Amino acid sequence: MLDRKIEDIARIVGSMTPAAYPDPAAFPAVNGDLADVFEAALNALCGPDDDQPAVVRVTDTTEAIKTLVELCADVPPTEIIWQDTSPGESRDAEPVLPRDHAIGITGAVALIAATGSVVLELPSALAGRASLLVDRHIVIASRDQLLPDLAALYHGLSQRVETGDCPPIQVCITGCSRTADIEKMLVVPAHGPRQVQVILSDEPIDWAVLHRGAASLH
Amino acid sequence: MPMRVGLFIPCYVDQCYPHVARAAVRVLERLGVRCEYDPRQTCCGQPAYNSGYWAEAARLAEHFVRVFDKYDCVVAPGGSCVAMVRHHYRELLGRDEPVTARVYELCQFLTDHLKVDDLGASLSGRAALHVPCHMLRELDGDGPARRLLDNVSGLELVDLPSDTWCCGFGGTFSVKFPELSAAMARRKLKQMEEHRLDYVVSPDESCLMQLGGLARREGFGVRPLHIAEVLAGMVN
Amino acid sequence: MWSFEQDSRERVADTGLADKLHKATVETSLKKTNALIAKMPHWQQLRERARQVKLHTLTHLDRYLRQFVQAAEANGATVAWADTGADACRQVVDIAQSSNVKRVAKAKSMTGEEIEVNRALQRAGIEPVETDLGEMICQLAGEPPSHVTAPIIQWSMEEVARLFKSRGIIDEIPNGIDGRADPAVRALNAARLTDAARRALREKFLTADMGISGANFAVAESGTLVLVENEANIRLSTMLPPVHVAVVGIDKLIPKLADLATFLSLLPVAATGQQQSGYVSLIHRPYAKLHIILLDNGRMRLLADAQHHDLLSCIRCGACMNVCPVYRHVSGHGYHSIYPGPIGAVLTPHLRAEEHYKQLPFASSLCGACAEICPVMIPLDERLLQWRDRIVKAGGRPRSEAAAFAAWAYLMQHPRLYRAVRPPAGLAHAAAGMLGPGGRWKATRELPPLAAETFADWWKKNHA
Repeated sequence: MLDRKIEDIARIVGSMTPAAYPDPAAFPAVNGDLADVFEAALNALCGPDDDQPAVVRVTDTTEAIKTLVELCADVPPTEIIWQDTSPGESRDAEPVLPRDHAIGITGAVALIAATGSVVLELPSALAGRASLLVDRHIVIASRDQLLPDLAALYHGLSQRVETGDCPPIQVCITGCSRTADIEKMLVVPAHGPRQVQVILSDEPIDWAVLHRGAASLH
Repeated sequence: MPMRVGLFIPCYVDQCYPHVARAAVRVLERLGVRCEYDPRQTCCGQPAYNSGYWAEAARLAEHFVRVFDKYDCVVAPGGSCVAMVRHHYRELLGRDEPVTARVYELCQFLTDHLKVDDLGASLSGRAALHVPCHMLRELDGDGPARRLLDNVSGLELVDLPSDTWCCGFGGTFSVKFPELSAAMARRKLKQMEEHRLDYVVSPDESCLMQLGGLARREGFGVRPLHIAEVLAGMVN
Repeated sequence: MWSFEQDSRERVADTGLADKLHKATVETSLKKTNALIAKMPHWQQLRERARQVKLHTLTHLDRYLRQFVQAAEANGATVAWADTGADACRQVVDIAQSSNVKRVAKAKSMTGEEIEVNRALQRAGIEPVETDLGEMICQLAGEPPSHVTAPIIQWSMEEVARLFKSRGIIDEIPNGIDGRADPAVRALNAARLTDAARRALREKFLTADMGISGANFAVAESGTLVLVENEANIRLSTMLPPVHVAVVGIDKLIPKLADLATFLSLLPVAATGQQQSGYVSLIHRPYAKLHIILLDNGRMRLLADAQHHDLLSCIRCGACMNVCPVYRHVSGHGYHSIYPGPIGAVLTPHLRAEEHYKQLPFASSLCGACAEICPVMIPLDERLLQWRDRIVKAGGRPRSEAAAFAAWAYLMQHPRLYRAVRPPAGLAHAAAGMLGPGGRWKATRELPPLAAETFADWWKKNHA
């Protein structure tokens, strides 16, 4: 059926004047320190009731742990969900019904400076919950993950197709979950997190160290 | 040999608003432009074209070319008709006719061709500039008209969000859907009235026929003026 | 037969409708869109590139479909074809029944609206749950969306509250909800209503056995589905349930993931005036069971239309609706078509056979604002004009109109006759008010009188 339809389409296309595939678009250079640009862009996306900064800058993993523990103060570990790196990963074997958590903690594979976006790769359904079924989504990321703009992100992804290592699911998150369906009034949250917070480290994050240091949050 | 400049007077201006055409002539003559007028000219064909009657429109396009081909330059006090000739005749005629590229809207002719921005005109009051959609999007935008009006002493141009909204005329659209068409004009006029404007000035009389027709019917105090009337000092 | 003229007359009579639509478009979305465009020096270049990519894809659609199907199947998806909306619905219901599905979480999808999949599911005893706030409200109210990206664009908060109360989603209608109330209180109430919807839908998300979505883009090189949203309901609908069915029009194909840089820089700006939408999900290797149904439903016929195939490059941003003065007076419902506004006026007569859609290409003043904003540069005003030409050529207009234009054109080609038959001004004016077009003009406006002396006569006297 599919093949036959594609043959039909080939016949239609055969009578059309083929249009050339255009050169890539030139995106304007992103000026300034990418971390500053990212911080400004994400701050601009804060919801009306955000009580905490969108971006917390730290120097290294040790400081990231300290900040993370502070941001999670007063939240019991049972109300915190981690993306895969959590010891609870084993739960994938015996499926746990999804539920809402107060805080979700994830890493990121990239940060987009121009748009203030956080890019996650989700290897499993469970992995997605920490950035979705939560009130607050905390992202721990580092400077070396900063990309200037969406062009860098998607051009990079195209290259990965050739080597066959496309992530199963990638989600580019830009700010909190929101809606303006009712009279175009901005409301936060809609169905997802009320707030996205990024702990942005100068040094790359040592995840083993971070997990040990933030053991109280597991 | 001197340049031959032909006047292209839109049919509805010829029939209903001859003072607009006379104002255009006065402006041009004051600048030393000697115009010719060929009375064989009729309609550019836009009403038929916009209504889907392309065969009829094509015949009028041929007629236009026959009448105007002799001129080095054609000037018209009506942006919509000029856009029709410059941008849609090619499709109707199935060929490029050089004369179509020599047809200018009055403001464009004054600022770009004659390099004149200041006609020494004066008019006191507050005005909105309404540029017809086809002039805004297919010709030179609002630049030429704005430059000319900026130099009219005593006239304050007020920018409104509705400046770029269609007046609702749209040729036969205005009679196919009279209520909808009028509602579009009403929304613009209301905004002008809220900003206490005295005039709505336009380089196209068809939009003014629509806006003025509704203003008179419903008692809006905004007065429609063709830009040629303003520039010629023929506002009484 | 449904009549746009009659329908529009009624909608225009409700001046509150146009007020709401202007507030939602020119005073909010469009304002943000224009402000962003002003800060994008590459806007025009991106539009041109987007148009080229789409035209390239359409003129090589067989190649890209084959590539997409191969890649998606290699990724673990099941790919099928649907000739019509009914065919697609049948397949969706089959998949649902074979997986013993009781409840379906629906991500907002215009394609889903186009094929009316909810009705098919309901008939099969399966509960479809619209999860986008606006679509949820449409579903509760039993009305179609009025805009492709703002389904309840003309609903007031008060109306939403009343609906929610009647459905038990809220207990009481909060105070301070009408248009005159304190904006801060209203903002709080908008949040309350949204929160109530969130709570009502949470359980549905968690218990849905299947998710249905469309796709904003389908990437050929990698078999990836791309879904763009702000609320996170699409993520929930596609990632939580064990089965995900995506109904994807064949017009959604793009060649490469790299092309997303272009399209995702245009779409949010045009659609909602955002630099970037909240969530862009790329579903490459699904962990749920993924069925992709490629939908024709009239698209192949349109592809074969040498003049109009570029209508298939539409990315459903809705910007042409926001800028359209006709849309802003009659709303999406005024078009009687699931795709409203300028794109709907040119697309629907291609996709649907019903004769009454042939009125839509005439429902425009041809101001061209749609073509100016369109992020993929579809010359919508030209397409409207070409439709009119086609309809006239096919004899689709009243004979009296055709006769009038023929007579008028004859007169206009014969200047001497034209000048000779001009009646005295006063008589002409009186007669015009009684004749068809003049009378219709005079229904709402004053008609200008014929001048006592034409310009031609004045010229003859003074210059000849």
